[in-house]
Amino acid sequence: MMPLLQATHLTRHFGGVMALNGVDIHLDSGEIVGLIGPNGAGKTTLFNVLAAAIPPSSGSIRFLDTDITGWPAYKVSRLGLARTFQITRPFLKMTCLENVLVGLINHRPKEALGRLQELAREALSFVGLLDQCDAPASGLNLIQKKKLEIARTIAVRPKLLLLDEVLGGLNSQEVVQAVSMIRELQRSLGTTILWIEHIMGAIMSAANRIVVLHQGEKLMEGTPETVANDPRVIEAYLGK
Amino acid sequence: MLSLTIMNGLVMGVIYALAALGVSLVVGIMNVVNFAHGELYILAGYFSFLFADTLGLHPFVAILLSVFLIFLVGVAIEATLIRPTYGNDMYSLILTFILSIVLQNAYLLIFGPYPRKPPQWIAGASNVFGLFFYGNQRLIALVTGILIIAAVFLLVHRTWFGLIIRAASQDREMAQWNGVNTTRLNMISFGLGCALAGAAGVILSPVFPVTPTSGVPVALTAFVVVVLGGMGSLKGCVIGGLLLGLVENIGAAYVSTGYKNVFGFIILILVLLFRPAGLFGRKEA
Amino acid sequence: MNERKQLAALAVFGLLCAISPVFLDDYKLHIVIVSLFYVMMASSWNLVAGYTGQVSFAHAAFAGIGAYVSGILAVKMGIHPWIGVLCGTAAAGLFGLLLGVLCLKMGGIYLSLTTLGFSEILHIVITNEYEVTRGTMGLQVPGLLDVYSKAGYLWIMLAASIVVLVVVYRMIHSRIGLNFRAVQNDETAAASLGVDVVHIRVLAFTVSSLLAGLAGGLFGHYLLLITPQIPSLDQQFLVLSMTVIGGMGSFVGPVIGSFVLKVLSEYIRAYGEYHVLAFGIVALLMARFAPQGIVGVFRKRTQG
Repeated sequence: MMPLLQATHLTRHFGGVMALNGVDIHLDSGEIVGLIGPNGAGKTTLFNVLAAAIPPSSGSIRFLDTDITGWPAYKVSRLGLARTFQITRPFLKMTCLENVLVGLINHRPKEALGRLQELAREALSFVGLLDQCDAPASGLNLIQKKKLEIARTIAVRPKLLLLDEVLGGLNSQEVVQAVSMIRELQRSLGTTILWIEHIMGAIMSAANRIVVLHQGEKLMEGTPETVANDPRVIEAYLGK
Repeated sequence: MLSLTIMNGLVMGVIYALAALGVSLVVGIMNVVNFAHGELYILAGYFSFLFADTLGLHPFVAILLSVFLIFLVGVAIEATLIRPTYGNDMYSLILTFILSIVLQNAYLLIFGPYPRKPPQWIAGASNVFGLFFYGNQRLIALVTGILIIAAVFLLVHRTWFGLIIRAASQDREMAQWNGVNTTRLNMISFGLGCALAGAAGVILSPVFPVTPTSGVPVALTAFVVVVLGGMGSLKGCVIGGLLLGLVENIGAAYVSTGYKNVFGFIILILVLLFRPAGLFGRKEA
Repeated sequence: MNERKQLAALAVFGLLCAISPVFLDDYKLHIVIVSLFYVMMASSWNLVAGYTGQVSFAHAAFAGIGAYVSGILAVKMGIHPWIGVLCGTAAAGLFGLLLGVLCLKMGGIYLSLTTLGFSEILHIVITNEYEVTRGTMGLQVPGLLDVYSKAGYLWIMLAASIVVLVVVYRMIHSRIGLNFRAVQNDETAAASLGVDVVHIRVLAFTVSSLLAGLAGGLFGHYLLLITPQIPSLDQQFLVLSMTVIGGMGSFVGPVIGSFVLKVLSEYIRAYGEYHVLAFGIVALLMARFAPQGIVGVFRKRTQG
């Protein structure tokens, strides 16, 4: 079966620094893949390349059997690839409902506004923000902003969701909440998820497969147990 | 004659480069475009006129004092107007645009509409390479301009302060994490940028007298040069400034004087269209 | 003061303007007409700057295009001013589209500088091409009405202002408006959600330049003399300060700003030509300390 996303030999340099060096990565439909690696491994760069925030210096990306290499972010989004931001970027001067509507009106331009508002409310309800519907996003606290970000992205039912360190800044209770919500996304919506995370415990328990980056290259990939016990991985983290 | 045109082009080019350096420094470090740049150039001219003519101070004292005062004015502007806009480009653009108009009108009120001309440092003219006679003040302007530009390059590339500037231009956040006091850096850099505008002003005002509104073309030219040379590239300012000076003067001499200033803007738009990074600008990271 | 009340207040004000020929003399009617010109200019500039977050310095230039195209057609080719205004509006829209496409991938500073360059080039061309535009002497053009009447022109400008305000209102409250505001809030996030930021920018630009062209075209035929003053940075400054002082990013802000500043300037003029300096200082203080303008101050008062 063809993978949902297939990225081949991705390279990216900034000036003289080679952030990514020939990374291959693929995602099969319905799985949660964790992306880990020590600081400076190139995770964020890989993430941004896959999310079409920056173009790769060389290499190609195929998503849903379409070559999306070099596509602008909005086009990739409309194809079905969504992403969150490490530091949340809500539309502060707009209400939560409006925040979620933005994606919907661009993905479903022909549908009636009333229907889209319903879908927006559903998304807000999924993350538990329905009561904040008409409140401006500027008034939300950290975890609410993160929830809003998730609501925004899932409202348009993306095929692939890229999560960028969503658990940062959350207490242990909130982490549990967030992880269960992410698993729910996989289970009930069938969303494929690529997830960068530093909180090892969470990602190891939720992910089906882990990809490890080190110094811009793919070190290895495998099930969480395989990866956790691999001496190269351990050395990469400790050797820092 | 061509050689005279080229000479004019070089002199103006150096001055443009000097004015543009001030803009480029501030853009590189703070990502702020100071629309009132031209008004500070003019203010320096007014100051040096005031000190030399009205107060009778020695011309050199007058110009040094003027430039120093402009530095202080720049610092004051940064602290009161620019600092609160950090991160919001549109906001600082609007504020400095309004400031520019306010200053122009203030000058009109305070100094009156008539052109003011500080005294020349050296009178007379010299024979340049046996080709033509050229005003000494312009020659001195050329030399002084080059010296100041050289001094700026020395500052940026050979001193500890210059190192901080270069680091902050490359990556503001990293610089902050490495202990650089960015607030103070911004303040000083802005003041320095304004001082460079002031320097250009004191050098050229004995040749081209200042009026309340003659700062506008200066600022616009500086912006064109910065974009042409590449945002944040000091080397680009110099090359861009010289290029523009030459193109403008040759164009005015051989094509049309009325359209002299259009060349700059056409260059601006062409650059923004085809090579937004400019000649030496940093490529998108 | 919520939206409904704002619109109601606007409607009442519009009515007042409509019947003003009854109780105002010609000079005061002129002030109202000029204020309406600025209402059109400020509201349409607000669309680009307040709602999409791009600072354009070419707005006055578009008004100039509207005025000059219409004027030149009337003078050189005998085209009736009403048709001329339509042509002028279309021309302005075309240039707006071109400029928008030019600024395609840029944003922020680059976009502003491009609009500045465009504006200056236009100003220089108009001033230099004496044969066609009569340069700084000004181009004398026929009026819109066969019989000159201040009241007549007032109603024309009022009608046009209403058209402009309706267009802006509909845009802001539509899906396009949501996209505009998303782009203004955070371009990168907007793009990640599927907003074609470039398309939005170009759309905002084109619509606002059409409206500016309309304003300029009508205004030129009212003044009966078109000068390079219209497409100038000074004009741009006035439009900018009216929007800023009135309240950028709000619907009624530009309307308030236009009338307040124009009326104020007339009072200040009695004491000398310092009104530009006065505006500038007020605009500076407001931009620095009350960025939401008069509307923002009102909002804080009624909430706090």
